Amino acid sequence: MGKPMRDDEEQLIACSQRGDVNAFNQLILHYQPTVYGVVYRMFGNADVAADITQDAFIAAFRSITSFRGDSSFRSWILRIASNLAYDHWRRTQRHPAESLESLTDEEEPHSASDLNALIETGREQNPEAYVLNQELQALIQRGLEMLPLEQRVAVVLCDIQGMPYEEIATATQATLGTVRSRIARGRARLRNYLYQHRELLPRNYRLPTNSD
Amino acid sequence: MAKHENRHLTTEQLSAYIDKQLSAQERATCKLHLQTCEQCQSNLATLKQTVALLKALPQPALPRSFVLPAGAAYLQEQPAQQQTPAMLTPAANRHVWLSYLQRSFRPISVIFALMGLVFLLSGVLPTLHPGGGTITPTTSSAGEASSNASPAASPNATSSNVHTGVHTPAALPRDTTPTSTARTQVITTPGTHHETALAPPLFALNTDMGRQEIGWLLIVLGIVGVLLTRRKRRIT
Repeated sequence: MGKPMRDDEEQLIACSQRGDVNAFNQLILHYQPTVYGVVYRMFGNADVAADITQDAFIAAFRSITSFRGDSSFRSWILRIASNLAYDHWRRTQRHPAESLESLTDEEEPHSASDLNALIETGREQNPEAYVLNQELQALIQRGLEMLPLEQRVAVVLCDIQGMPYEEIATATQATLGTVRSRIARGRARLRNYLYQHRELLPRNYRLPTNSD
Repeated sequence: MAKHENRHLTTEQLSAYIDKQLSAQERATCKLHLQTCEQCQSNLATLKQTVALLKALPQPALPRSFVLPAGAAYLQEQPAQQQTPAMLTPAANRHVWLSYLQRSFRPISVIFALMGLVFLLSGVLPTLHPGGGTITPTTSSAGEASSNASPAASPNATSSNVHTGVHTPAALPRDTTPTSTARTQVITTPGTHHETALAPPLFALNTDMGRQEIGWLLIVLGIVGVLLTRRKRRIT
């Protein structure tokens, strides 16, 4: 994702470090879908995601001089964003009433036949590629929000953003082993959650024979 | 090897297997096990499907652009703020050290003032109340003890303290020990400690007046110390 602009990127970072907002805005334009996407998937709330994304870019510009280029700019900006996301999460944990609306995960289950009709499944060349309808997207999103925050971030960065483990480790300030285990546990938990709502899943979705 | 093949693969192994994050050897054993174990095959398949569902989630549409407005005040403060902690860390350390010194300087000044008060009282009280009827037993005995100790020769001062210490409360040794140490210092190292070396000729500790004088001096020093630290605090 960041590869085509890798050459420009260093220059833009150097200009930003000299206080050039326009150069930094070029970086923002490139990374805002990633940052917003990650935070959105963490909380499933567009307003929260927008606030955290904006704050993350402001904080990043403020501290751009501390960026040494040891890690990718993407993992650096995502580290700032995930730290802010953690802060937000801690605040909402302390005051659950504020976030009750966005965090309610139990909705009445829909009838399976209606929903299955809405799901487009399978493609000849890649049977595992799904086109998800709104309901299923919402189900996965709720499943993500059921995960502990560390696992949630790791799964989002790995499976939704397609980041390598090393970059996730940098972005979440964790070791590779921790990242590996968080991803595994997050995936397993999410699978079990989806299994509980299997009536919403595509027909060709293979259900676990045992739950561990 | 046979044992490894029989043992089911953990979710973590399978998850890392999907991402090709296993070592070549680990991967080979996983592959071998998966060929024969249906349970692990199913486990792997469902994990893969979970990953596929996550991958299929669309990128949420951006509600707006997060581009920063040029020349905004909060942006211009920022590079400066960022540079200061990185560049001025030694100065910041010095500042912390100074404030620590200030903080410790205050209680020391207070202790000085209190010590001065004790000296002053030990000098004043015996002269005001020669009978000692209304005075608390601690101060009167302290005054008596120090006056008792004073005629004795300086090396014997500590032994007399021990002797009287049986009857008098804990306040007494505190009052008398500085005087005895001051004297021994005068004898042994007169040049090194100016304050202590000067003390005996200026303030005769074995007289009430001398104790009053040193009491006043300590109180003044203590108050000055407290005032100085207060001012510094306001500035910072």
